[in-house]
Amino acid sequence: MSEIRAILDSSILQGLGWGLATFGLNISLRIFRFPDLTVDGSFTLGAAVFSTLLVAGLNPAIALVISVFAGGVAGILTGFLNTVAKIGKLLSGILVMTALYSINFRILGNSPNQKILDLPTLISPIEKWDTVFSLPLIGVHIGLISFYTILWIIIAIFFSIVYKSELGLTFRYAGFDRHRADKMGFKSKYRIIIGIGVANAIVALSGIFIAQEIGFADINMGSGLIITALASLLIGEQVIKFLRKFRNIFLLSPISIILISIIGTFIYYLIIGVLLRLSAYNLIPLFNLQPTDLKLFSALIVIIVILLMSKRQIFMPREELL
Amino acid sequence: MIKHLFIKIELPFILLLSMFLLNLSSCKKGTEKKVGIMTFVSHEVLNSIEQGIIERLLELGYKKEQIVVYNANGEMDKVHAFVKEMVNANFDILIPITTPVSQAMVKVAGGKIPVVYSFVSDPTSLGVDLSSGKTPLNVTGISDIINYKENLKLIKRLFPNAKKVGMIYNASESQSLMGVEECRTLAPSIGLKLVETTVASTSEVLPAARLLVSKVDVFYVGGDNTVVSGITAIIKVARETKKPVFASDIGSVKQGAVAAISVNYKDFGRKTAEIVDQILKGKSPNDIPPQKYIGDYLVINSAALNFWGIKIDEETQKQVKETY
Repeated sequence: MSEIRAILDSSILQGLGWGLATFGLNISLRIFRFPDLTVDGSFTLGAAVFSTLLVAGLNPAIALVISVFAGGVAGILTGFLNTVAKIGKLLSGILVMTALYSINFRILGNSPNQKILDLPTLISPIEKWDTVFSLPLIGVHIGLISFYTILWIIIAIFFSIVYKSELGLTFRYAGFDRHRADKMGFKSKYRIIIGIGVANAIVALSGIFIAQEIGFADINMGSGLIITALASLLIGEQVIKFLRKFRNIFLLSPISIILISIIGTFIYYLIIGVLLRLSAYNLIPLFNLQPTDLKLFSALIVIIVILLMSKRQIFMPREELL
Repeated sequence: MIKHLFIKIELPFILLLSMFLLNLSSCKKGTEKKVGIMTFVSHEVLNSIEQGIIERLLELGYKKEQIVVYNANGEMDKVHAFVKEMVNANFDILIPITTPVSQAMVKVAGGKIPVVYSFVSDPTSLGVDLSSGKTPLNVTGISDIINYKENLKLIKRLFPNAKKVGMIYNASESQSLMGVEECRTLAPSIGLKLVETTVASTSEVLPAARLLVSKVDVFYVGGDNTVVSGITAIIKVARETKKPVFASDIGSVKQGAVAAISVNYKDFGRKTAEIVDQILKGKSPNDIPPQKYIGDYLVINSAALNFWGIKIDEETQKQVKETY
């Protein structure tokens, strides 16, 4: 039974931790309709600033605030390049992400890697007493999971309040239709800039917690994150759509946006975990799977899940298939 | 309707079935120990280490079913996920290959499972105290050291005209950065001068080599994964301009570099497996000091020697372990 436990425990933690990055991407992609490639860089930026400040001896809580802010600045820069400098959405993301590589390298002290292994972090007191809570089928790290759950509840409360407020509504409208929002008298420019900033701040938050979990920040931490986050996001959306058959769930409610991020990331890593075992133990002798075949199969499984769960509409109802 | 039923029943069923399959296969049989190897990405050096470990473990009497290999395929999020799964999955010993995997493994395992790191050039990044040889709880391992001094001396010996040595490296690889710093301090004592340039990816190696070629007498490639992957670009430029290329790994010499004093990575993997064996036989990881494996494996490429008209003296010839 240990294998099921290992996969579930790992996937739940990944869903809660890396799910933050998916949530950030969800905000920029779905609310602001901005396919934001900055995330690869801002994720690393959060981790890099946090670990450097921690090594410099700063209090972890203050370090967290500063590094989340740094992630926000990266997003603001992307938003600025797009709305003010009129550079395309994809290109402005790529530009900031590329620039961040060099900046992250400098922040990490001109080295690719910085360890925070022995330093006190925000989650180190939890990790100290954290034990695996065993049930017949599952065993989970109860401490870390409760910590993340509380974090998510706080985020959900804040997000719901802002999302439903009048101010939040103008932000959403600016993301929905820039031109009409401008005509109605909201400055859509600033709203998009701040929105992308907040999205990247959340991605940076994800990077900060992952760095604490694995005990170091690495220059290549965020590379390929956009692909994982996008796949998780799509899976999550399909799951929520699938659940809509049984209950009336509003896809764009704040709670479903959060659930999409967590559940999507969870299922993505669940699938990867199962596939990993299939290839590692060579359970499908016919194919003679190698560890390097994993990427092909993870792509195939994502396609299959999305096709199976979409109810006959393979195409997304919203025009953008991103 | 049928399709709906299919979705409702089939999907959870498939997931459950595959999990069930996993359990059948991975149940521990009796007292057999389970060894988990995790590597960062597939490339020649990492693959030979992995092969070396498995080869030696099989020779030592372990069975193939006891050894499981994971590969993160170069993605950090997978490193994190897989490390967590390995720590939870009842392995008796874990062997992370490369620095980022080892860092994550040491942190997540937290002393609960023995960890034998391999291919970590700078073990201080894992919390190993090199001066006292003290390692974190339940951690030990082996580092590969490229012998930069001997390599630079080899260049001077085989190619006495060399004064300016061109090095291309990727600054985001910490072991490479350390190597370049070492070369920079060593070079003057050997009568050489270092001319450096950095790249961020394999595709930048060719332009970097073109940029550097007019300022140097000879190219030297250190232990840099990015540049080693793009070594053919340097060799191409070097052939055009008749300036020789020296390297520090076997693969580059196979590709056409003149010579290298390399670490024999297969043997390095075998050494790793021997540490693993000691621990599985009951020794505590903390009783085994972290080990160093210094490269001493001289390889030459005879076609390249001819092309650049370099003659090998007898003494050097005696040390040659392999010729391509």
